[in-house]
Amino acid sequence: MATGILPKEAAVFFVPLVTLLLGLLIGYLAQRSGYCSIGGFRDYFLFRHTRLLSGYLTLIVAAFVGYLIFWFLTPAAMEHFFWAFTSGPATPIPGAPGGLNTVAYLIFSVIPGFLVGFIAVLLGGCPIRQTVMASEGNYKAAWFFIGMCAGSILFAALVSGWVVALMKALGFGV
Amino acid sequence: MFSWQDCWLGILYHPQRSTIFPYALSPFILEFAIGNSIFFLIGAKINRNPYFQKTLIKTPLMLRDEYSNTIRSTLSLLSRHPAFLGALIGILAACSQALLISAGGPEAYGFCVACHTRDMVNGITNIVAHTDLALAAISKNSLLPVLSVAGVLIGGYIASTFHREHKIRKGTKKEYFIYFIAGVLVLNLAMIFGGCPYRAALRTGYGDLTAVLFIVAMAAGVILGAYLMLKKAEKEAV
Repeated sequence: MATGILPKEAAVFFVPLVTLLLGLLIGYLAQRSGYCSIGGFRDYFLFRHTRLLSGYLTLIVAAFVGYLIFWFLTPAAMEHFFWAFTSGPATPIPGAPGGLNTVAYLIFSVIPGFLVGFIAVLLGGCPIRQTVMASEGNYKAAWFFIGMCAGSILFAALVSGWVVALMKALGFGV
Repeated sequence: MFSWQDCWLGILYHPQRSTIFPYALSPFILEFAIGNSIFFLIGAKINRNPYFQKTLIKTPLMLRDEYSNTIRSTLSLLSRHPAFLGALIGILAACSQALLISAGGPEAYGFCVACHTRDMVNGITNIVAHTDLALAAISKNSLLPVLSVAGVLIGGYIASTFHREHKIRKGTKKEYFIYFIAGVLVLNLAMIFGGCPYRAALRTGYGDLTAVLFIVAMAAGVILGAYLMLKKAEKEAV
């Protein structure tokens, strides 16, 4: 069990507060800068503009630097950070449906990645861009956000079980 | 159970892990932060005060108006550059994980639009309707689920009204339907992977090779979609 700076009794109280403040800051700056990951790849492919792409690449580098700094300060909070050598590099960090082997997770990253990129570029923005556009008063993006809210209940109720059952039927179970 | 030896502050009093290096820097960091914040809060106001101008003829360089204006314009330029936001999300996500990981939940979960929407909607549905929908552990254990997507909505609204960019743009009913279905699809696909492009970037920084595959596949999908859009635009132009 990972232990952070705050003890569990305090962290349980601060989770909504800290994430709300983080979201406020990110939303404000994302509206000012027009931040978009998929827009970055699209602009680079179509016009060779690197402005938005630099934002996404900086995110990857800054995530590594940030996790490195905080791994140095609080090693107990970063159990599976790869410099801690506690897990193999192909073992995914939990978050996807469980009970499957590594090949299934590789399939889970390639096919959804391709489809997310394809759908989002036709709509004109990644999820955060759509959320910010919804807050700017774009009704289409607001319907995208409502679709995400409906999809989250659908995923938890049905799709998650279907996907795991399908992969187990195809022979990717543990 | 919580013990001071596992706690970050406890390292100060921990004989084996004690290291002077991060704490030797802390007075300088504190002085920089406090001095700059005081300067931003009251520096410009002091300069415009006539009493201050008469009594202190030679103001230090840091308190001059021109200097503060330069800093302000630099800040506004920075806030409009995506790379600044990217660096901020990366560092703050790591910071929030170091703060809050004791509440449980997956690692590299600092910021993600798809996962945090799922947690917010399912968590509030669980509280209101007494259902048992699946959640990340951090949202299940805490008082309320993670609220960063609500923060993004409010922050975007504040920024757009403050800078007069808030404008109602309507579409047709067919477009609304397409966007709704696309939202359902994108969320389900992202949750099968376990994160939107932002969590993929965080996981890449955390050392997860499946996230690198996701980003490469996403770039391929974007290139295919942009190519199709280009073809369609060329056909319409001719």
